[in-house]
Amino acid sequence: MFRPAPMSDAAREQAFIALVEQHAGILRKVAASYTRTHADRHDLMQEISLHMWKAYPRYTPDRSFSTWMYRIALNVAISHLRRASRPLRQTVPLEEECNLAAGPATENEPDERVALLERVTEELEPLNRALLLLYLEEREYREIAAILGLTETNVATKLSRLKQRVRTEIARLRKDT
Amino acid sequence: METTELEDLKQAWQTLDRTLQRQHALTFHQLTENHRARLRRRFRPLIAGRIIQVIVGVAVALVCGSFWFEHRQVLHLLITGLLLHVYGLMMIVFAVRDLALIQRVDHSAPVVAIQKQLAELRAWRLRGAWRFAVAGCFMWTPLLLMVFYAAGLDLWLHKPQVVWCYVLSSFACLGVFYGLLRWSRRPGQEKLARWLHQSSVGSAIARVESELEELERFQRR
Repeated sequence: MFRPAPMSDAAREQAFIALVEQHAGILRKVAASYTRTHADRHDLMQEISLHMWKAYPRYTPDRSFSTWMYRIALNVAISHLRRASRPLRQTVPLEEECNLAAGPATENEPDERVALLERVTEELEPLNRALLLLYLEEREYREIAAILGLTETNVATKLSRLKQRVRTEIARLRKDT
Repeated sequence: METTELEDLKQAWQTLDRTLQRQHALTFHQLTENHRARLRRRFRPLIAGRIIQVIVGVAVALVCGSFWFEHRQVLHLLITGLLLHVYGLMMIVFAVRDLALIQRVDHSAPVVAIQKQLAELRAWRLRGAWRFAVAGCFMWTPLLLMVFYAAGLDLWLHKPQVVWCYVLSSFACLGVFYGLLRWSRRPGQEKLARWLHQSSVGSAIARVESELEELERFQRR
């Protein structure tokens, strides 16, 4: 049976860094969905990266890297969220903090939509938050199922319920404001 | 209508992603700038050292220049003054060249480009350090001759054997230096070689290099 030649540590590290850089958006977005402050986000990104590096020897290139990365990132993020003792509402809203750091937006961006997204996300349980994230990322049901460990049918059902819940939540939030 | 709401969320998600990307780029830029500012600060002791070297070199060249000029009719005093005068000029030239190379390091350049400029600076300082070490083995003889002469004793005229002893010990000093250099190249003496190299090149450059390595690692992350 053919076995690829083992990589040297340096080559393995290089390959890992290249893959993570290529999919840095996943890391950023998962961390942003489960934290509120820049410092927390940074910590979570570090923690996810560390878990990925530990798990990397078991990763095989015949599998999709993004799926593998999502699994680790979401698992770590969910654990991180459950561990977090600080109430979320006491922290700085993500969008506010992003704008502070990045300065005024260059495009005419609808900030209220981002605020709404944040508030909707906040109301969701960790697993539903993961489901919403993957839905917003426009991942296929097959991939969502592979990431979350569900069947495709189950994903479709859960997504349908989640969409309904999100719509209701949006309506409620809009009514409140 | 319902679809519009979910589409709104998707658009908001993309907006958030762009904001995060911008923020990440900005944080990256700020951190890189902080590293670069630290690099510039690391060079300050080296620059201060070179400025002092120029001042000392100018003083040595002036004092010794006037010394040999005043005693140009006395061969051994002329040679003594000239040797120290040349040593003073050497101090100035090396310090000015160091300063020029330090000034040339472009801190906003890519890491590899800075590494090349630093390598040039390191090579130049290494060559300079060896030359100063060799010259230093001998230079203390004319220095003592001049000091004794200033104190009223012409050592060469009254105690030439003492001067020959100085010269011989200069060769011995050179021998010890050469031996140490050879010894440091033997296997197992890497620590000594590293110490010799660092003390020749200067700790400021070593620190700058370690900062650059850190910066490179950070950029790769």
